[in-house]
Amino acid sequence: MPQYYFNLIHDGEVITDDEGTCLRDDTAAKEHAAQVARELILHNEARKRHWVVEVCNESGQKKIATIPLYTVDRALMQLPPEIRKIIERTSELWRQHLQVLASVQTAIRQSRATRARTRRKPYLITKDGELV
Amino acid sequence: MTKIDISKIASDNYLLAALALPDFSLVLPHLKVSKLEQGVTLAEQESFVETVYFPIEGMVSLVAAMDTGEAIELATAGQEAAIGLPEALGRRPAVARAVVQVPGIALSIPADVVRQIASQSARLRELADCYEQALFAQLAQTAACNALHSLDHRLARWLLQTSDRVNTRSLVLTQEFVAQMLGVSRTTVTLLAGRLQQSGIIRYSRGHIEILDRARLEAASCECYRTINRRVAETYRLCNIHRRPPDGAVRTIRLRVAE
Repeated sequence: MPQYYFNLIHDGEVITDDEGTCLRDDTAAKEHAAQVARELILHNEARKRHWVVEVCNESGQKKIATIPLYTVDRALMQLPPEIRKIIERTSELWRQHLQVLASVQTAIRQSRATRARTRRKPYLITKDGELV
Repeated sequence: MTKIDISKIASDNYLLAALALPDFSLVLPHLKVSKLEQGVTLAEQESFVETVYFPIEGMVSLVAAMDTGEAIELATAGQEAAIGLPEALGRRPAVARAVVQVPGIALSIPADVVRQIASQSARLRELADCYEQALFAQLAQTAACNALHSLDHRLARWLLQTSDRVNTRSLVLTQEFVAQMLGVSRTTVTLLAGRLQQSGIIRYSRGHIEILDRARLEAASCECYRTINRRVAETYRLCNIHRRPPDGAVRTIRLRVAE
């Protein structure tokens, strides 16, 4: 059975699952991702609607599905379609906004490091324990 | 192992430590040291209890097993517990399956022997009632937590409870096991643990979880962690069971003299 990898995009950051899971085929992998999404969002809908679960194939490179958590949000099911659309759109925008914010922060840190290096001063920045 | 060794380690179990010397000397000759090995079942739900375990080290999970083979954790038990004691005294089947989660040791005693002793020891019966009440408080709170709280809160609560029981910051646990206890898929636990790691609260690798920032882990947990602790502590306090028995060392010496 092929190996699939599941990533989580939350608040502008990405978390990867390096272990991976053996599943029958792409359909089973998507079903597993939907299950993970449901487990993540349960009882905390308002804070996690903008999160996304990604499914990658064996090499860990190719994305085969993207599941925004609002698609499994049971709290939205009973809303009128137009209001649901607005909430879904807002969640998308919020996620993009947080992603941009995160990359801007990284860029600022990198430029500080570059500036410090040109002045021959020590400047070390790390993210998740890795040198940036 | 000699009796003196057993009496020494016995005071690490809160319930054994809460027995006065006359009652304790009834129990002592029958206590045996049992190794708690990870994954071993100590009691099966709906089966009669044959042996009662007083954990000294390590941690045991009480789980509800479903017909499908799934099992979700209802309560954790460690030094404050006497696994199977209330059931043994009442000749009742075990209320939940007890599985060793963190290896360690326990003092064990056959159920019929402890039942006989209890007929002569009011304090032992009182302690069994008290443990049952504390367990009930934990089961009630955990059931509500499993039903109402989000998984990140429950994961944080679970990590705190587990590290409390083993008195260490570093836990030897696979994520599959954690996932099973919380009743979700391994992938979900990995992703949420990754989030805690990203914020510098824990560090994990295969089969190993280390708590780096306990205060923030407590903040990431729901109220249930504190509520369970408070309710168990209050029940034990009313029954004069102290977390760290002050007279433990004294009693050991007295026993040694008596022998």
